[in-house]
Amino acid sequence: MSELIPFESIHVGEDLGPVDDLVSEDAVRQYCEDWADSLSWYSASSPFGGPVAPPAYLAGLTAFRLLATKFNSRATIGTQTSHRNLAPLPVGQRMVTKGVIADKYIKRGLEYVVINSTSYLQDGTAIRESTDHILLSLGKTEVRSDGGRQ
Amino acid sequence: MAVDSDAQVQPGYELPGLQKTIFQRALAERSFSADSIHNDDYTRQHGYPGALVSAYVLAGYMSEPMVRFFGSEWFTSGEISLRFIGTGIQQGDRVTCGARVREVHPSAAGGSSRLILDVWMEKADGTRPVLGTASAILRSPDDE
Repeated sequence: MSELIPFESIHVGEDLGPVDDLVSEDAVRQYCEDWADSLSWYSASSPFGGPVAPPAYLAGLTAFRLLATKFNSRATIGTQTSHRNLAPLPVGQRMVTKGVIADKYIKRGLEYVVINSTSYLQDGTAIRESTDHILLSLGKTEVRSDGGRQ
Repeated sequence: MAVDSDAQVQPGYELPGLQKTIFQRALAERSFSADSIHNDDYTRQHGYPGALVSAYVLAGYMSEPMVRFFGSEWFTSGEISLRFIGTGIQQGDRVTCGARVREVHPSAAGGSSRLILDVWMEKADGTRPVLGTASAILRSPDDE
């Protein structure tokens, strides 16, 4: 069980965030260096006009940051991530991500939370929808014979 | 786009594998608490070969071959779902990002198809700690 995020403290339906990011030229350049992705669309012109951020930019990470707005998420682990791309993210724009706790469950003694989130441009255009399953800790929950947890 | 003709893209078609050496800046530059999955000692106590690379980093690597194949359509119609299993991926691992077409759904109007692919990340030892599916619109070359 997680000592940092008591399972009982997670409430399905609770809103998380928003978190706000400036998608700067420097941040995108560093992403491209770290992921060794040299596609020119991220630094020069793209089919959408000017440079755009890689479509996976901050994908998944935002779910952890949303969780961190309410909980200490340092011991958590991403176990599943799903993303639906809706629109490109132009470099230089701000991206705002809002989330909600969609579910929580225990599987094989391990505690999970599910976060649904949507990222938007400043003008409200939705650019990505995501679902992330996050394991709260590698520590297992003991289930007593009466079905309770300890 | 990596193909010249729709005729090539049928179920079973495998996209060119993309080889990468895994890098997460935070693992290279920071130390992590004793209960973090990014801490070598902690993860080894739980049976992993070393500190785990974050899922979002791996998702980023899996996106690149999708952009190469689907082009701009990936930004507006791409969907990907990944599961992270086994003993994970460690910093410096050499991996191949792979994908194989499972289904082709031509649009009613013709000229494009929605593809569904099985995707994976494979380590040098042949294990696949990342498995999933992806989907996007593939434009006919005639439409471009």
